[in-house]
Amino acid sequence: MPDLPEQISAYIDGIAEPVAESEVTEERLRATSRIRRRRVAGAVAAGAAIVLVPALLIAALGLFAGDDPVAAPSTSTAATTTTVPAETTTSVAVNLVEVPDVVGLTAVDATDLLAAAGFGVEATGDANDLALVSAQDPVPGSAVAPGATVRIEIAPHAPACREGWAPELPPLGPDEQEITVIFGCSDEIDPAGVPTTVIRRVPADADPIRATLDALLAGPTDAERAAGLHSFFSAQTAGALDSLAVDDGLAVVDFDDGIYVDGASTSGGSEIFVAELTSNLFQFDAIDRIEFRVHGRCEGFWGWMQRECRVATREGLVDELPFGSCSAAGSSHPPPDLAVDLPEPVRSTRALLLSLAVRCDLHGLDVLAQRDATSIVLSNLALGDTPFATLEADRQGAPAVTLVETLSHPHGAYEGDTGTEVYVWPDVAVPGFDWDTLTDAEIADLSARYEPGAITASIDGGVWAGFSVQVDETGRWRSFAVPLT
Amino acid sequence: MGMSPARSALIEPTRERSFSDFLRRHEPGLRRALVARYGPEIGREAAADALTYGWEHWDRLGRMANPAGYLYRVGQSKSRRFRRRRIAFPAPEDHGLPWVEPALAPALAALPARQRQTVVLVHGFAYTHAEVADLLGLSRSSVQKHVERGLTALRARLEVSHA
Repeated sequence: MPDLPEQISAYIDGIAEPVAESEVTEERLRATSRIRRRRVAGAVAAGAAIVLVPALLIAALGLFAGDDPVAAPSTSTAATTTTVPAETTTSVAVNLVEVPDVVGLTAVDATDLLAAAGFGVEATGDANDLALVSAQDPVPGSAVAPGATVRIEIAPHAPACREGWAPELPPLGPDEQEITVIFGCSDEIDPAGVPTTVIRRVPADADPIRATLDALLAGPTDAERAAGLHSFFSAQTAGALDSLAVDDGLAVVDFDDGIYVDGASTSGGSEIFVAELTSNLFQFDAIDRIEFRVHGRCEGFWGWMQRECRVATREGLVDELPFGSCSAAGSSHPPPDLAVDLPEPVRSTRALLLSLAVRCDLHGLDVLAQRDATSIVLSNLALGDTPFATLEADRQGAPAVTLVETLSHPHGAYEGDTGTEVYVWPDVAVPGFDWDTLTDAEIADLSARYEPGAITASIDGGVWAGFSVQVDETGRWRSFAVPLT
Repeated sequence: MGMSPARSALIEPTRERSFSDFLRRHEPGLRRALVARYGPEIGREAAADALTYGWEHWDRLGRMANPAGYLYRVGQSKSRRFRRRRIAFPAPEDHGLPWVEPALAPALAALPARQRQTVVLVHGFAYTHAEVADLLGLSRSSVQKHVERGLTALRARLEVSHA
C-alpha cells in the first residue's frame, strides 16, 4: 500500500474534479454576487406582493372579459395600463402595461420603481448604491405583460469621494488639532476598496489615537455619506470604545456591545469592518499590532464574526498567541475535563477561565473578575482592579498557571449562604472538610494529589490552605483565593 | 522531491499574463486547500466561486503579490453560501481509489480543519510550511504546530483502525 502522503494526495485529488475555465461564467457570477443577488431578489420579492394583486384582478376580470373586455379597469397606479383584446381566438383579454423609463436613475431607485410597478428586475453591471442605469430592455414605453422582467444595465459611477473630495475647512483654532479618519468610498464589498480620508477637528490636548478611533466609530456625516463615503460605523456605534491602551507597539482596543453593528459579522462585511479599524489605527507609528476585544475578551470581538481570535499586524491578521507570555503560556492544552457532571453554567465558566488562562489573556481574567465581583485574594499587595495583570507583570506570582492547575483538580460542592449551590476546586477546599480526623493513609493520598506543604498547613489550621476557585450554580465566578488561615 | 508546477506557482512572483494562465497554475492549490477544509462538494464549489471572483476582478488581482492567497480567503467567504450543507469526506472506493486506506476518509474528517488543511498540503502535496502560510494566511510557526498535531492525530487514528 502506498505511503500516507501519497494516499492523501491521491485521495484529495480524487474526490474533487479540477475546476475548468468553462465553469467560470457569468451565471456563476450572478449566483454568487452578494450585492446583485440581494438587489434583484429584493426587487422580485417586493414586486411579487404588488404583482399578486393585479394578477388576481386580471384573473377575476378574465371571467367576464368575454362579455365586455373594454370595461376592465386599469389595475396599476405606477404604470400606464392598456387593455387590448387577445390575438388568439379565445375570449380572454390580455392586460399590457407600459415599461417606465429608468435610464439615468440610480440602480436602487430603478429597482424600487420597477418593483413597485410590478415588474421583475434583472440587473447586470456594477450594482453599488451610486451606480446609474445606462440602458434597459425592453425600452421605455414598450407594452408588456404584467410581471414581465425588465433587464437593466448598470454603469459604474464615480462618486464624489473618488475624485479628490476634500471640503474646505475654516482656519485651525489655537485649541484645536486635526486628525485624519479613513472611511471607504462606495459600498463595494471589496476589502481593497478605495479609502477616503476626512479631517476632523478635536481639542489640542486630546489623545490623537483615541480621538481618531472615536471619530471613526461615529461614522461619516450625512454630507460625507452623500458624497459616497461608506462605513459600517455610524451614530449606532458612536461611543462603543471602552478602553484603548498602547504599549510597546501593541494596541489593545476594548469595545462594548455597541460595536455589534448589523452586517459587519458576515464574511464579506467583517473584512471591511476590520480593515476600517486597522487602517485608521495603523496611521500611527506607535502601533504595530492590535488586539481587538469586546468586554475584555477577544472572543467577544472575533467570535461574533465566526472567526478565531487574531492579532492585526501591518502585514495582515495573524493567529499568534494573542496575549503574549505569562506563567500559563506552556499550558497549551486545557486539562482533561474532570467535571462532566457540572451544570452547564458552571462548566461554561470553568471552560472560559481555562481558555483565558492558557492563552494568557490576563486582561480578560481581570475583566471577568470585575464583572462577577469575584473575590480575589492572591497576596497581601494592593492589586486594584487588575490582580492578574499586576501579579504576572511584576513577576510576583503565577496566578494564570495556578488557576489552570487548580481547575484541573477534582471539584466538590456545598450549599452557599443564600441557598445557592457552589462548586469548589479542589474538592478538599469544600467548607467543612474534616482535616482533624484524617488517617495517615488519607494524608499520604492527599499529599500525593496536592502540594504536601498545603496539606500540612491545612491540617494545622483546620481549613484548606492552598489555592481554591469557586463558581456558583449560575456560572458566577465567586472567588480565586488562598484562604487566610 | 521536485517542486510540482502547482506548488511552485503558489509563491513565485511571476505575473500571469492572463486569467487563463493564472487558473492553470493556481487552480490545483486553491481547490485542494478548500476541499481539504470543506470537503469535496463545498470545497470545489467554493474554489469555482473564488476563481470566478478572480476572473471578474482580474485587473486588480493580477497586480497582487499573492492572488492565490487572496482568492483562498474569497473561497472561504463563498463557502458560507453552502453553510447548511454538511461537510463530508466520501469513502475512497466510491471515487475509484480502492488502494487508498478506507479509514483515511474518516480520519481526515475527524481532524480540526486547520490541521487537516495543513497536513494535506504539506504531506499530501509537498508544500513547504512557508507556502502553506502564504496560502492560508497563517504564521509559519502556526503551520508547523498544526501539521505536527494533525499528523500525530491522523497516524493515531489510522493505527487504531488497524488494531
